[in-house]
Amino acid sequence: MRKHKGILLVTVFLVVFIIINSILTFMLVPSCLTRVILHELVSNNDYKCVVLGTSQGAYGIDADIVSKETGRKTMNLCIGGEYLQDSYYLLKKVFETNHPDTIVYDMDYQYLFNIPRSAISGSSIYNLYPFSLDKLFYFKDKALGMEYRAALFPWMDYRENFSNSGNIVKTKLSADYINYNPDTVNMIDNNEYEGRGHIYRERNNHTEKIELIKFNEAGVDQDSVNYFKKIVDMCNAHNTKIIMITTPVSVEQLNASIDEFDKAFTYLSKLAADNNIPYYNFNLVKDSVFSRNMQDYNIGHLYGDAAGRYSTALGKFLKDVENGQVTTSDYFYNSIRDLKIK
Amino acid sequence: MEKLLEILNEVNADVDFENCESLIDDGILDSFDIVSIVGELNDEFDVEISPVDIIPKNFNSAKAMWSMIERLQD
Amino acid sequence: MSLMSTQLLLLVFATAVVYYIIPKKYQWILLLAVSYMFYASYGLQYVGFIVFTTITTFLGGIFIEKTSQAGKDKISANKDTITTEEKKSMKAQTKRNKKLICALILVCNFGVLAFLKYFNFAVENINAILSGVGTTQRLGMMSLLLPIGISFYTFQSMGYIIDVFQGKYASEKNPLKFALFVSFFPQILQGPIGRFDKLACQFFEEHKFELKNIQFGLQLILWGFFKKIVLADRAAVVVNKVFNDYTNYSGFYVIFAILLYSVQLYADFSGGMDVVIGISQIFGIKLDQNFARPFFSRSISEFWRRWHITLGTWMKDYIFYPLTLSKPMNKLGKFSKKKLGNTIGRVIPICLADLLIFFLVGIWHGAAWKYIAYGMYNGIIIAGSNLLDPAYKLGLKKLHINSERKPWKVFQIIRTGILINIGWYFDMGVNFNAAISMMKNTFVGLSLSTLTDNSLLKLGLLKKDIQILAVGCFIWFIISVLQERKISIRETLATKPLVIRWTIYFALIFAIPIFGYIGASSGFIYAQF
Repeated sequence: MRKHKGILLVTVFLVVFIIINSILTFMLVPSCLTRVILHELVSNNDYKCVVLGTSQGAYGIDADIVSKETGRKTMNLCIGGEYLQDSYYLLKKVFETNHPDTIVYDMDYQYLFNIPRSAISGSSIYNLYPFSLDKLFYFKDKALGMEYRAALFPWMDYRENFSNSGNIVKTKLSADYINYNPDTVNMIDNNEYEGRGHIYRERNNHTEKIELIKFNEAGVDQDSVNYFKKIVDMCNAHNTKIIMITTPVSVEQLNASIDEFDKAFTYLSKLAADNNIPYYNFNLVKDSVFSRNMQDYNIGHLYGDAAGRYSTALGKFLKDVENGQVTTSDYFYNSIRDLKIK
Repeated sequence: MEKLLEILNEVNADVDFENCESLIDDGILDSFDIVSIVGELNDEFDVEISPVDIIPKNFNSAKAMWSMIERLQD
Repeated sequence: MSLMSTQLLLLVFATAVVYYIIPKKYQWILLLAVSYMFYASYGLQYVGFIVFTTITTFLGGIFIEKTSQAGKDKISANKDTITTEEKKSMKAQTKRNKKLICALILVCNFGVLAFLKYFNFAVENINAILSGVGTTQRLGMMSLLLPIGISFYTFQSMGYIIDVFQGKYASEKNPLKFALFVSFFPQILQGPIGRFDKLACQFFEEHKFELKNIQFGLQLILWGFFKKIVLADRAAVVVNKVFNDYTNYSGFYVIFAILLYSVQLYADFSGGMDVVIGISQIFGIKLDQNFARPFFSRSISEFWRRWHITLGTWMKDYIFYPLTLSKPMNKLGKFSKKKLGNTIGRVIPICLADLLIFFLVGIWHGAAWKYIAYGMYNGIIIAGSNLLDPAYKLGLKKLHINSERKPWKVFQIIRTGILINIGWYFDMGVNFNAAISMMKNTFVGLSLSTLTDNSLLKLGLLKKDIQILAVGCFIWFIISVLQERKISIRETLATKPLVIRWTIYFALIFAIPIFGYIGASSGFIYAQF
């Protein structure tokens, strides 16, 4: 009897802990875009093309424009802070809910480097990932090496929000939030969420250059490389085509560190080749296909209008790939040294 | 036994060696006192107290020290 | 596997579950397996070192006993035919053989430790001498890595071999059981340094599941995390900023950093101890205390009986007593008593022993002159206070100060606190010269306005952070006072109604992520020895 009482007490204790933790998450973590995006993914099952990648792609790729060009419904799952581990688990969800025939991986080489094992934020992909057996594996992969409070308290990153918690709770109780309306998300600057994963960045006059991580092959995180291989294997297992691209940065940025980028792109080409998939680096895209300069970018991300042009080019390109009619020299230069600054 | 008490009181006059039974456990004697005491006891009673013997059981009271001395003299 | 990582907590949880399910006679085997797994997680290449110490010490213990037994057997076999003289010489021979084995084991293991820890330091100094005498010859340094916990497990094992040599207890006959004693994972990182007779009986007895052990253990772990994550990591911000950039700080900035270093070091080290002792308690194993409210000490001597206690007792039992009770020291004592009178003469051997011990304590902290200075600073104060004790007592009498009254005790505590904090210049200063320079700078630009015009907020902590530190330290102070009065916090808590207990538990659990310092994460300070 005492043993049972003990087990009961421990269980109740754990339940109270989970409740308090959930309440804190509810009142401190604001409504975030990732939640809306994930909902869009799992509530549709007719996506034929899915893009995975990072914030480069989130701002740069308008999935609706790509859909129009290719005639196939496209979903952009590029999310800021999406490391390869996250892409891997997202892809699992993709195959669970949809039957895509093409996966496009938008590779940003910076995400191959030693990942800062930061806290599991309340707004992270992991935290908003639907609860499932996969999520347990996701937890194991992500959380074990982390400090325990980073892993178990997703609201910790937002603990400054106590004063704002009234607003957050009000938002989360509203019909809009429950219905995944992106208007409930506080977007920075003049960003607008367009749907299907695309963030439209309105032009303002900032064109600051960002600090890119210097490429160094020794610093590449092998776990990330392994996750990429697993992504490719998963696609093969589902008979789904996968290609690697890289959404371009500005020409000026490339010219400022030509050797660094050369090394990085050579590595990425090798990575793609090792996995038997094609790599189309849009940094090499010809001016006639998609012209861009420094003014089209804000902190390394494309403004909405430039993104629209890029997405049109990308869409046309993907259609040609689909039809097996790609002549790379029509689209791409051979080397970034062929690019000209206007 | 009287000689023992005499020596102890010489090392530290403030301690009630006749009655106290927790000289080590309560930290009344520190290692400095112990070394002084052991030196004097070795000389006076012609014994060889080694570090192994320096345990609370042997030094918690004057009585305990006397038993130890008697044991070592055999 | 960091003590604060999720995987460690899961490991402890999983191990505990299995521990209390399996037949009790296998519990120690589980602990051994987990301990080696834990050790290997720091690098498979280091396992060889701990295995080396385990095997050499284990075999050493066995051989010492065999030698002892052989000696005894020889004597009793020939007891009718030998003279007392021969008996004495046989005993002496046995003792010499045992000494040889013990010395061999000590040299091998301390040798490895000393080499890995001090080789480069020695080379640096030799090179300095070489350059001083004008040659261009230089010795090359080596890139040496310290196996995790080597200082702690070496000391713990060497304590064992000395105990067996002195006949304190029988040697362990089961190599795997001995391996657990050397590698027990909660204490491998930063101690406490344990004794075989106190640990063996606990490791190998059967442990029944007792909820109290789990509860008390978890509470202690939580408290340790609180101290480390909320207090130590926060204080560290100021400490690192001022000490790493010491030429730019003076006056109260330095004093503030020194005081916060007290907070950081005490919270970090004692917090780590709480986690370690708490984890052990979950398995029903009681480790020795390493801290007993050290800042309530009334003298430096007392401080070292309350701070890093197990290192102090190790030095006391294995260096201080053997040294001061040895024949050479005895002779020295008699000699100095003759030359300098009884009172002072008696103290000389002890003072020398103190100086040696604190030299060792100093270099134990690291291979640098500043650590030697740190050790000697403490040693000189202690040796000095031993020498001056009679004069001191006389002074008190003349000034009519009753040393047992409260005001005097408070004065002593504050005085000791100041002395301890002065010692930190050497401990935390980047190097010896930096320490001296910082000491000088403390008296430069000492202006009270630094304290009132928010200057101290330029050191990386916000007002809110300082408030959290103040409140946290205050809570800790209250708890310390209760503990000093021998009130067990956990026992008292256990008597309170469930609602109160659970409120406190949840408050502590959530205070850590709410108030914990978030910044560049660092491990426990002492886990690098």
